[in-house]
This record gives sequence, structure tokens and C-alpha cells, in this order.
Amino acid sequence: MMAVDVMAAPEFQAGTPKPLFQTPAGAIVGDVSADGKRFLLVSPAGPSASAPFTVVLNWSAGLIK
Amino acid sequence: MSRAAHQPGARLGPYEIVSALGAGGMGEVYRARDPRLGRDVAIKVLPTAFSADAGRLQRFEQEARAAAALNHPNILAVYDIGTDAGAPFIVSELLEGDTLRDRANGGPATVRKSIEHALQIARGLAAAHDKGIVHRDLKPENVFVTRDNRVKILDFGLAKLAQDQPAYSSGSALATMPSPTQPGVVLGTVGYMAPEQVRGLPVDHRADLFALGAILYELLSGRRAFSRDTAPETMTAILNTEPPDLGSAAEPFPPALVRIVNRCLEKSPSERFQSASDLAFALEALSTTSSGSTAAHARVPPRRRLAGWIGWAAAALVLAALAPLVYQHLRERPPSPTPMRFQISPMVAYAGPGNFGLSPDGRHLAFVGIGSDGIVRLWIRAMDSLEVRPLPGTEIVGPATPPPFWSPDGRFVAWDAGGRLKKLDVSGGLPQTLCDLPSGSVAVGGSWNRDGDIIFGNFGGLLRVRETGGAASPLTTLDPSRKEEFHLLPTFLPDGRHFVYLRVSPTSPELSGTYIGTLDAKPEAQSPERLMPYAVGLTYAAAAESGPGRLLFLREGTLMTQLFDARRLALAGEPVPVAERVGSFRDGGFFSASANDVLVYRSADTDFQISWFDRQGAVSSRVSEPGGFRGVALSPDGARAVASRTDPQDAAKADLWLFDLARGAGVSRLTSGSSLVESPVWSPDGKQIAFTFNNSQLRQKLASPEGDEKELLRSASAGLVRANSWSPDGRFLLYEEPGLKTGSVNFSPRMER
Repeated sequence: MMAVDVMAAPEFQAGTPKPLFQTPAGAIVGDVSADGKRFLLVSPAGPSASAPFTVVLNWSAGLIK
Repeated sequence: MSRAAHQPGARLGPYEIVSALGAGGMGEVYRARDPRLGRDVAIKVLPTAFSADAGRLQRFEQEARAAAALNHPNILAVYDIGTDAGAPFIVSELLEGDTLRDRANGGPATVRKSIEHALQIARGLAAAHDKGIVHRDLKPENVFVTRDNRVKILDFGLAKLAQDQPAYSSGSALATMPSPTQPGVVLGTVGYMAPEQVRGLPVDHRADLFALGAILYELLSGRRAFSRDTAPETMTAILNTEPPDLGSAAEPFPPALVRIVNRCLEKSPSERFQSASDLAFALEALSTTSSGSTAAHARVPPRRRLAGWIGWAAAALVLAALAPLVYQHLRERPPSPTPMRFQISPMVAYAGPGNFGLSPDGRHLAFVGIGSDGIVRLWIRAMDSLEVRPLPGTEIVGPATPPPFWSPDGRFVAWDAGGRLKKLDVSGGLPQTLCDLPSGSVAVGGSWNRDGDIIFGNFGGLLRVRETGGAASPLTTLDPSRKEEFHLLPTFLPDGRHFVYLRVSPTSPELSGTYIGTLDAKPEAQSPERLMPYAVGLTYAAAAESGPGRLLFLREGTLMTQLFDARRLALAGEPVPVAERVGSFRDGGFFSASANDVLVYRSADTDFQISWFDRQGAVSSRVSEPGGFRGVALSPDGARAVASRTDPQDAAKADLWLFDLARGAGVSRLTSGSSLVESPVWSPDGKQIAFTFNNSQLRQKLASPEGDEKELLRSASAGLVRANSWSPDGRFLLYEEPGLKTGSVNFSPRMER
């Protein structure tokens, strides 16, 4: 999560972005509270971000005929 | 052995014997070649006696089913099972290294090494015990150490199988002994058996912890914990005596380590560690503090047998999955290929749940992952080893990257690198740009033929480009009269000219579906004849041998397949299910198949959670239960939040849900129906919400379950349209849409106040 100071008037100006914190892997940024102190994020609830792949060898041999 | 050995060149099912690796009481072990995947494997052929008794096979089957689910780096991986002339065989990974017995024979190990090995064994046991599987015959001979020092436990379940086969006990390498208290046999190898095993009593997972204690004792001291001249004397020692105290050695071991060993070797199971996880935890704690204490025990390294491929290694095989297939094979001769289902870990976190593509030979999986540096890039996971590696230069912005796809020779992967389609030689080199993508579009599914043509979907008609790069040219065009908005997910058919693909007409579902195109037709002259109704995801998998291939697609979360004759360009038979609860995102399904009958899929993700984070990145409170959330927006007053949540029954659909943050758990659904609703934006007064409807429309409605939806805008470019922000005066909605000349932002439309 990064933050940058901005000035809307007299003309738009932006400062240097600075890092706030590391978001969890796979997180989706949602919103920020009006005071800028809290962040609403959608993040993986469990270990599914590393959940396995299922591999099937000879998969077509096992089909219901 | 009751059977003649297999000679090099002989076939065992689909496998070609390369050489014999060894023989023991539990069967003969061979190095063999799997010509389908082009890899070497280890095959253990069990005695025919094992399949003679249906009851025993059934018990074995139960164990095997559970063992098949084990997917752990410290347990030998099983690939396949089958039968040969009535004898079950098990195919596993071929390991390079030596057994712990070989190492122990070389003398004591260092404290650090001993702890390291014991810790890996404990982790493997913990995974097996969690599934209710007890080894029952853990010993240095059944623990393999690969050349990169990874410990693999071998032979899960074999002891139980032998236990169920008293007639087989003679000649067994397990050194089974008659029980002193009851008929039958005692399982386990003398010297590593727990007291309850010696007594012939029922055993549980704690017997394995005793055996691990005996192994750890031997690694540290260089001598067996319980060793006498005869087996009965050894068994008596296990029941009645303690091994010489490690703590009184000339160079004492760390007291905490001695306590761990002693606790494992308690006579009563109730006084041992109660779980392998607890033991692993204790060892782990020690391993982080013992690195400095190894000097006192930095003994002469054990003599290593530099035997190169000690292939029998893999020998002892987890009896995963002899399963119902055994019965099938007993009935069917000669045996046909048998499906084998197992799980592999991506080893790194996914950046997106379904962004993966299987190589044409089924040996590698390319996927979008996040490494420890937090950077999203492409990774390659080998299917037959634990190797996973990032592809340098493939850094990706944003997690919504579609799955990568492969060149037909498996040398290159191609992927959407954010505005450009790129390719990279997976063996090394720098990424090369193939072509620019239309502004704001993404490459949704691609296919690459042997003539060097690459075709791919996007927010429009299909495009084509040569593998040497250049400007992309149209391959298909959207038909406005059919209200088509996307052509996606093309897959070449074997002739390299025809392809199947999805046409999507969101407002005319009767026209959406699978179509057949050809490189030889002009974009506007592609066949308008629908092959199959719309389904999420689409790919064509050629047959492993001659014969018709198959289409694969999702119907309500179930992966389905139907025969497709690529010469006649016609479907055959009926759709049949392959797997349930397979995930999807938009029009893509989480599955990939190769031409040699390998299929990879991943389950639906429903486990995202909305939470408040503070400025330090810590979770301060949870807003939602876990679910398929894909985005959230806070109301202007901060009292409510609206989130898009995937339908648990159909991952291609999503609705908006309203959370009352001020009051706590109050949740209500704002939209309901068979559509994909996402990317919500609040009006400044907090009364209305604008959102994306089925990719290509902007709609608005009241921020409550009441009221109808109202269409604001329909995408002119048939691309994904998304609202960004509502102006403070309420008059304008800022949105983005691909393909606009001035970029991706436009002010429109005028809103009613």
C-alpha cells in the first residue's frame, strides 16, 4: 500500500509516493477511511493462495462411458 | 519371489522397464520409463498374493485412498498404480540419494543434521497422521535422503498390507515376528517397534513417534537404541529397558534434545508426544537454537555412499491409490491406462486463482504467482518434481492476468504482459514482444500451432499474429446483429487451421456458445453455426493416441467433457462429468489439459474476506465472513460498504452485498439474478450505487434491496466498462472503457440528481 501527498489547487500537484505497508498476497484494495487511518481490503481468508492443483493422468480413461 | 523378474525393455502397462533396482520382501523394484510424459519413474511390483484376497484389497484400498491424498514434500510421491499379471504395481517418483540406513551405517551424524532429518520425518508423519494413516514400520531403511538433503518417507501402508497377509510373512524383509500374545504376526522391524507393537496390541500414530525416537537416537549416537543378539532379546529390551543415556555421553548432547528423544521412547504411548506436529514443533524450536551448539558434535561426517542413482530408492512406495482401480484391472486384461489423481502444490502463492497453463507434454505448469519478494510474475512448476522457478522478466502488473499458453514444442510460453502479448523461452533468455494488444484489452486465452500462428481472444474479435511477432490482425469479427461482445478462448484443432472458440452475446444467451473457425476464412466470413451452447471455459484436448479428442468446459462448476471429432468437426456422444467444484473467473475455467491425457484443475475460490487494516498493515477487524468477494467500496459517510461477491453455486455470477459497518454484522443483498455484477461505486449522497453489469454495461440502483436497476451506459467498444468515481456534485460518473482514443477515461453520462 502506497500513499502520496496531493494538492488539488491552485493546480494539481503530487508529492513522492511512500510505502505504507505490505498488503497480503492476493489482496484486492477496496477503500480507505476518511481520516486515512484505516483501509478496507479483500484478502485471502485462508491458505488457499497456495492451495494445490489437482492433476489427473489418463483422465479420459476414467470417464463414465 | 513368485514371479519372474521383468527384463529391460519389457512393458509394464504403459511403462518400459529400464533396469532392475532391487528386490525385497515387499516386491521387486524397477527403474522404468514413462513414454507418455518422457520421464523416468520407479515401479514397485507387489507379490501377486496381495491381490488374491478381495477383503484385504478392500482394506488396502481404504488406506490407499487416504494415502493418495497425501501430497507432502517429505513423503514419496505416487504417480500411478496398475496391475501386471495379477500383481499390483505402484509407480512413484525416482529419487537420487541414499537411505538413512546407508547414512547411519557411516557413523553418527552431526546434531544439526540429526535434528534436520528428524524434523522432516516428523513433518511427513504429521501430514499422514492427519489423514489417519499410520506408517507402522518406520525405520532408517524406509527413510530416503535425496542428494539435496530432502527427506522422503517411503512405504506408507505396506506394513498394514503385510499385516493383512499372514501367509506372506515368511521371507519378508520386514522381519515380522510371531506375536507372543496372539496369533498372527507382529508388524514392524525389531529395534524400531513400539512396546505396544511388540505386545501385538492395537497401535496408533504414537507408535510412529516411538520409531522416530529410535531413529533419532541412532543418528545421534551411531548405535541402535535397542539391539541385542537375537530378535526376542531385542523385543524384551524394548519392553523392559531404557537405552544408554545420551545425556551421559562423553560429549553431552543438548539437554533439550535428549529430553525429546527420551519422550519419544517412552514405553507408554500416553507419555510420548501426542502428535507428530508437537514433536516437529519441539524439534523446530531446537533447530533454531542448536546451530551454534554443533561444534561439540561436529564429528567426522558419515561415509557417504556415492552411488549416484540409487534407484531402488523410490522403491518403497506409498501405497496410494491401489484403490478401486485394482479391481478394474483385475477384470480387464490387458490393462488399459488408469486414471491417477493427485495434488501438487504450486509452492508459491497464486496471484490469481486460475491463471495457469499446462505444457503440451503435460510436464510443466506455467502459472502467475507471487514470490517472497511480493512481485507478481510467471512461474514454472515441474509436474514430476518439487522444482518451481520464476521466469525472469515476466513481472506482471495486476492480478487479473489471463492464463499463459505454450508453444507446441513446449519451448515458449506466451502471456499478456499488460498491453502486449509476449513470449519467453522457458529455458532462458529475454522476453520478446509478439504484438501490442488493443487499448485496454487483455489476451483472454491463446493457442499456438505448429506453423507458427498464434491466435488469441480479447475484448472484441479474435486476433492472430505470427510467432516471430508483428502487428496483430483480425481473425474473427464481432457480429453486431447478434449483439456479440467477446470472442474468447480459442484452441487450435490438430490440423492447425481450424480452431474452437467462445462467442459471447450477453443479452442473447441463445446465441452465445462454442463456434468453429478457420485461419482460411476472412474475419467476417467465419461460420455462424453454433457447435454447443455457452459454457464457462473451453479447451480442446487431442486424444493421447488415435481417435477423437475432447472438448472440456464448465457447467455450473462441474468440469464436463464431450467427444469431438476434429476431422468431421462434429461432436459425438454426450457430455460427461470429469470433476466437480472446479473454479472459474468470468468466462474462463480453472483447468488446462495436454494432448497426452494430462489434466490439471483447481477448485473454486470462495475464501476471501473483507477486513479493516491499519496503517501498519495489521488487521484491526473483520467485516465479512470468508466468501467469494472480489471488490469492496466504502460509503461516503463510512457507515456502510458494498461488495461484489461471487455466487457460491456458479462462479460466473456475482451480486452486490451491503454491509452495515456501524451496526456490525447487518448484511443484505442488493442485486439478485443470473448476472455478473461488480465494481460498485457510491453516489456522493450515499443513496445510489453504480456498477458494472455483465462486463459491458453500467447500471445504477438504490443502495438498498428495493428499487429497480437502471441502465446508464452500454459499452460502445464491447469491452469491459467500469465506473471509477462519482463527482462530488453528483453530476458526473467517471468511468473507463477500453478502446477510447483519448485513453481509458471519459466523462459521461449526465446523471439525474
